[in-house]
Amino acid sequence: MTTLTIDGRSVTADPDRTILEAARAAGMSDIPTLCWYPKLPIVGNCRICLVSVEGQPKLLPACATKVADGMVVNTESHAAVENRKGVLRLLLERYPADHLRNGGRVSPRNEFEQYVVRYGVVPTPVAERDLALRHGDERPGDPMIRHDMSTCILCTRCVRACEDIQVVGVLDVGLRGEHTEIIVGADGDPDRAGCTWCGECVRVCPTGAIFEVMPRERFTPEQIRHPAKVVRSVCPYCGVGCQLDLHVADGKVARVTSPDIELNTPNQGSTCVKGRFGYDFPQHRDRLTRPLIRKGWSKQRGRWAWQGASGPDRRGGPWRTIEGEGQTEKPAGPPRAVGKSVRELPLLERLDLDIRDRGATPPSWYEPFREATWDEALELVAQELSRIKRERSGDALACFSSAKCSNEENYVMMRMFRAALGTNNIDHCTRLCHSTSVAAMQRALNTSAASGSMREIEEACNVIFIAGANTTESHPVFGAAIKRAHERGATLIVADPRKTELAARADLHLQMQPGTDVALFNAMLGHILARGLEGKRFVADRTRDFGKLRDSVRAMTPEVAAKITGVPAEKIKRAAEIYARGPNTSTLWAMGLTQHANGTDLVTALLNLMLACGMIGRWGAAMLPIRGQNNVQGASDMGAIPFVYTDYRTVKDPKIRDEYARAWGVAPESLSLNEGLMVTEIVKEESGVRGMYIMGENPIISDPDIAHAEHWFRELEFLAVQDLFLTETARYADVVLPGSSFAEKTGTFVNTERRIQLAHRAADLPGQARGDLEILIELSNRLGLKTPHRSAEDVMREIVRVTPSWRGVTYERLEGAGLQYPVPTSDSPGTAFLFDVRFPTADGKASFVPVEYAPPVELPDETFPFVMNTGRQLYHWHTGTMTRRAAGLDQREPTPIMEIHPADAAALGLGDGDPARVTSRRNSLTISCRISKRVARGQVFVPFHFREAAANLLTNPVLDPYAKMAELKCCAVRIEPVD
Amino acid sequence: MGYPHKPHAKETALLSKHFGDPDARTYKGWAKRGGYEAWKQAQTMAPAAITDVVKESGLRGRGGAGFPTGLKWSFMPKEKKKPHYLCVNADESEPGTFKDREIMRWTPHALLEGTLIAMRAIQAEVGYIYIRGEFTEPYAIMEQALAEATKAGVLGGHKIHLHRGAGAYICGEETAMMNSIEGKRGNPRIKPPFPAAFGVFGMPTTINNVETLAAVPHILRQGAAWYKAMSLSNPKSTGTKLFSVCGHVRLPGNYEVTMGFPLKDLLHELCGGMRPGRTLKACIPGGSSVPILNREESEGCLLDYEGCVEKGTMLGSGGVIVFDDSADMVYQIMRLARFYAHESCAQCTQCREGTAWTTKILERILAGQGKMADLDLLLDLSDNMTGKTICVLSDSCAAPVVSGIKKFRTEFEDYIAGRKQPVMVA
Ligand SMILES: Cc1cc2nc3c(=O)[nH]c(=O)nc-3n(C[C@H](O)[C@H](O)[C@H](O)COP(=O)(O)O)c2cc1C
Ligand code: SF4
Ligand code: SF4
Ligand code: FES
Repeated sequence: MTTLTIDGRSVTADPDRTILEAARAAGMSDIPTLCWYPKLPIVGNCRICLVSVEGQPKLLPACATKVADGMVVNTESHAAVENRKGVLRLLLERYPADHLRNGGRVSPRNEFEQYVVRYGVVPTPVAERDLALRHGDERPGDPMIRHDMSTCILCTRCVRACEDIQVVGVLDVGLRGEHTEIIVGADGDPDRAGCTWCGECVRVCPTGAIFEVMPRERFTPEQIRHPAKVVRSVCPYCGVGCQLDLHVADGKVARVTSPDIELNTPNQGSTCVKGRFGYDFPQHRDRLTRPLIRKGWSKQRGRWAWQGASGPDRRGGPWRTIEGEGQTEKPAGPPRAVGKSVRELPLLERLDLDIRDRGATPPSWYEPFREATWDEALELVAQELSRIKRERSGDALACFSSAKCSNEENYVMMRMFRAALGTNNIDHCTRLCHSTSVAAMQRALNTSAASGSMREIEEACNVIFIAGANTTESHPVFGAAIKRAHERGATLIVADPRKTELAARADLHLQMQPGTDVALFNAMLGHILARGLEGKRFVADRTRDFGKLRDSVRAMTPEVAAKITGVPAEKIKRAAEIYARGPNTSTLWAMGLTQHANGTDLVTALLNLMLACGMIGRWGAAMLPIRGQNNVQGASDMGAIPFVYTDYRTVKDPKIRDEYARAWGVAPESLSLNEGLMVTEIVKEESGVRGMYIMGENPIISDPDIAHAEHWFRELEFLAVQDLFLTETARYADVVLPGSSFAEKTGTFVNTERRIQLAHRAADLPGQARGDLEILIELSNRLGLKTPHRSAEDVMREIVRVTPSWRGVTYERLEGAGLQYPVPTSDSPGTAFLFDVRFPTADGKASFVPVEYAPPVELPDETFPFVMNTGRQLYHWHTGTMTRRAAGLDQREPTPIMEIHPADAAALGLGDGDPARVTSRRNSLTISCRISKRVARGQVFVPFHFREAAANLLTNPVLDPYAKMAELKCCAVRIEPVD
Repeated sequence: MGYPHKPHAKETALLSKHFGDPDARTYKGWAKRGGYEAWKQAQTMAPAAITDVVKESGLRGRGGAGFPTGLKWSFMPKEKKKPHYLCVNADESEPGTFKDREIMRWTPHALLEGTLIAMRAIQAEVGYIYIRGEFTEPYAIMEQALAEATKAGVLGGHKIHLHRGAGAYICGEETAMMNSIEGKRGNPRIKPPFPAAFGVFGMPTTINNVETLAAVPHILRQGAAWYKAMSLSNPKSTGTKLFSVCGHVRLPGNYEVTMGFPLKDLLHELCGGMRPGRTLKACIPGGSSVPILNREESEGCLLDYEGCVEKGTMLGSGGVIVFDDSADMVYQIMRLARFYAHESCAQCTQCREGTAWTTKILERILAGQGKMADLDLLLDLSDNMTGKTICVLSDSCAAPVVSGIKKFRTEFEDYIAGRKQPVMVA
């Protein structure tokens, strides 16, 4: 420790701290800074922070000068203050500052102007200046980020944020001398320079020279500068769980900023493009503002009765089916960084439709409905659910809860279905997400969540092994953290059939044939065992059944695996050795592994590898299934799955049942002891399900083999949908209940690292829309289940009573960073990583489950020579319900595209943007091509966000035997040009 | 040899002895003239012993700052844990300075030999010679010499790369040069850390000027005492120095004299004096970055580090710029300021904005649109630009402005008051 004196106060600091850091740590944060920004590389270029240090002839930069013992610092010396004024005056000389001329009476508009006012510097009138205003690349016409470079002060924060936080490097300093300016790529085209529109530059800019477009288009400068309130919330998209600050004006979200970089949030101040710019969908004109009832329902003598058409027309409407939409002609996608620049091709000119309408609800969709009162709508829902239960049984009912809804909402939903309707038929889209991971992790370690934290990947791990996860697009904020870890020196190994951004920068890219992961992992494991590189102590002390495993992988030599996977044996060996040597290897995976009909086996093979090397249970050796939705972890934790109550406690155990019955005030017999049906089982003729309640899910787009699903939903006796919009699923409903968006609710969400976070209500509900929780509580009561809760916090109090590992959770404790469960007691700080001593199995040991390689169900053949892969894009999320109604996001990616390798495209005579017909054994669709080397030859990639070309029309509904996951990642298709 | 003129008796030709003699350029010719003997000798010496000799000789950096060379070498880690690098500063871009160019043109092997000796002294395996981009001819000659030396096997396992600059003056600043070698924008780095600890590619690095290194073989061959004895005034300034004289003298060119040589004699005797009918008005003795001397100061100035400081200026790079009574000092100072405004790497606020603004004000004064208050503004700006930035380019711009206004104020006032015909500057 070093002791120095700052402004007469004795301060101690670590010797590698700077004067600025020492002063800030001591609570003296008055030294002005412009180029310095927490966590960015120090460049010391603005020179405003210079301070006097005794014995030094020159002023020294506080931000860049290390402390030394006995140093005497004066931050407010005459020379230092004069220098600050000098710097501000010079910067003002080229800054549009006439509004600052009336001596401090104006309110400063930004960080820089605050200093101008604080130091009383009066700018020269613009008309009398010797120097012209500054300039730079300005991103004209950009849908989200624009520049007004006359206010740039060249602090280069934006350049460093892009380069060092996001590890992208779009921005740079161009030219020199007075011509120096911030440039966007080499030619001003952000797309070509690899911009991801994350807005990190917006966040760090101290003058607003880089700014968001959207707020300015909808709100006044005054509203933006002085929002009515700023409310902490959690991003509604992926599982990283970024915390967001919602700025509210007019009862609407006017702007989103990210919490301070120094706060301990999962995102450390960053967001991705969706988090920062995808907030406007709640204000979209499509928002449902009143309950809707299908025309044909009428109330007679106190009871609702269906008087409308019967047969196939019963749920019809003046619309095309998704199958039909799939066949329509598509405009070409916007140009990407291949060939022409965006500037040469104005987006709107290339598209023949108004972008805003592409993903929006067509007016005709509303036709089969009439607006209703809440009383009518809830009465009808309650009546029909009760009727089906009475006439058939509780198990003729099912519900899809929602990974986009809060823990409290999922809890009340599952409570209602279990206690009021007596069925365990409750599931949500985790089925099509990490269900196979959960099955595999349950089998091996009896756990259902990640063992570690995202922070340890960035800070502590030596080797990052990623299988089937396109992190920089699907979880961009975590993707950036992985890139930072790679920059700091961690070794990156990516196993993926596609050359994703991370694969391209990885030290080793294992580009295997889709679905051959078991062969790859078994071969790695076999090689490790052959070399004796396994974690012998770990295997001996903490695992079981190692012998069986050893035998099972013997035959899968790297050479054999090379033939199956297409990855050279040498590469497999190298990867295996790096993985095993660690010393701290973290294992990450996502949909690329799980969405297979043998997904459980794929994940098991990876877990075997991980356990054999002992790469779990230490800080830096994390097991991290990366969750896809902001509350897919929480919805599962809350028991919105068919087999368990909260905390993964089985529904089959009468003792556990009693406990819940008591808590809910119902007779134990009213709760079913039978496990319920899963999403993919429900949507089947033989499921016996006749009535459904769906909250915030859109299975018609997200389920495999859509045409089948569409048919199934039409045949239901009763369907109620609670959502923000009239989705593709909701249009088949009998009753549609307008719910609330993330911005309009208070509640908690669990991210991919088990972090429970609290989001506060920011915006007003539009029209008569209601809070999701409020709707569920009222419906529960109408169904005769006493549900006296008045608020989300009330519900949480009940949750913690029935959930042992959440027992220490209170809303108060969740403020700030939140808590990583288990939080068993009110003084537990939460758990950053698990399993340092034992696994939660009976004997505390993990088990190896040998798995054999089996080829994917559908292999390419002569008729269907390509393998189609599906997944997410950076700008969209899931079935597009939200992102396609977010103006900025949808403008970046307005139409469905298919990625195809240039050589394959050339062989088929397809050019960039050309329409193609894709046909699988189930269905076909047309889509425009995007030529890209990200996909290997013989493979194509189709995102599943677009109803116009819904990838799931083609996917194979064959199911994983354990988790009932469908084969979403791999189906054989044929591709033909369309003229 | 006062190349391109006949040698003058008062010169001490050490580095310039073979200027103008094409045979000295070749490996064979150089070997005939005793070339690479010092290198052979150095290879028998311990690195620290070489450093000690150089330290003892009193040799100081000829790139501008005059830092003792042996002392600089001794900052390199003694115990080698990482690769060490030597960067040779051949970026010579300072207005009025053209001595390194001639060393490379005529005696490329002298530079290579000095470079090798220095590399041994600091235990560097790799050396970069960073040559100003515009120096196409010297580059070709250096390339040829390096090829010959490599072929002759004199490099002894050392690796020397020639690196061409891309036309930025700032890349002559040592830390900017390191960034440039790394392929980055040539911005000077904040110091500390100093190059000896964290230099090119983050490894311990020493940077030396061409002329500095060219002197080293002579020191090894003839001894520290011999070199040290070459001093006409202050014992802290030893050896010979090349002065590139340009401007209003009859015989501009490079002249090599012993440290402490009178500036007056350099101008009036070696350079043949002013043009007919003209008298000396002012002189910048150390390249464009140092304060201007008026006639009296110039004629009293002894050319060594201390002598220049005594007159309120600096020896700098030894580029002597001479103005006779026909010179328009306001215009000349504007030209200097404009150079710095153009060459600023533009990281530091004071430098980026200060150099540009200074230039604009001077242009305005020349155009007859100045105000008396502008002179105070200029001084104020210069004060703002001095001692506050990452490197000293900013100070370099202020130096001629401040000294110019102080010593030639009436010339400025003449423009402002309209007593002088405005000059339109493009
Ligand atoms: C703006 C600026 C430009 C410089 N340009 C040169 C140059 O062209 N050549 C040079 O040798 N030194 C130049 N220097 C000095 C170098 O930074 C460094 O001090 C010198 O190369 C060290 O070598 P020496 O110790 O042998 O003199 C420059 C310094 C500054 C601040
Ligand atoms: S745009 Fe903003 S962040 Fe970037 S250099 Fe200019 S002022 Fe700094
Ligand atoms: S003083 Fe000028 S040239 Fe030197 S680092 Fe600063 S801006 Fe660059
Ligand atoms: S904040 Fe220290 S130099 Fe910019």
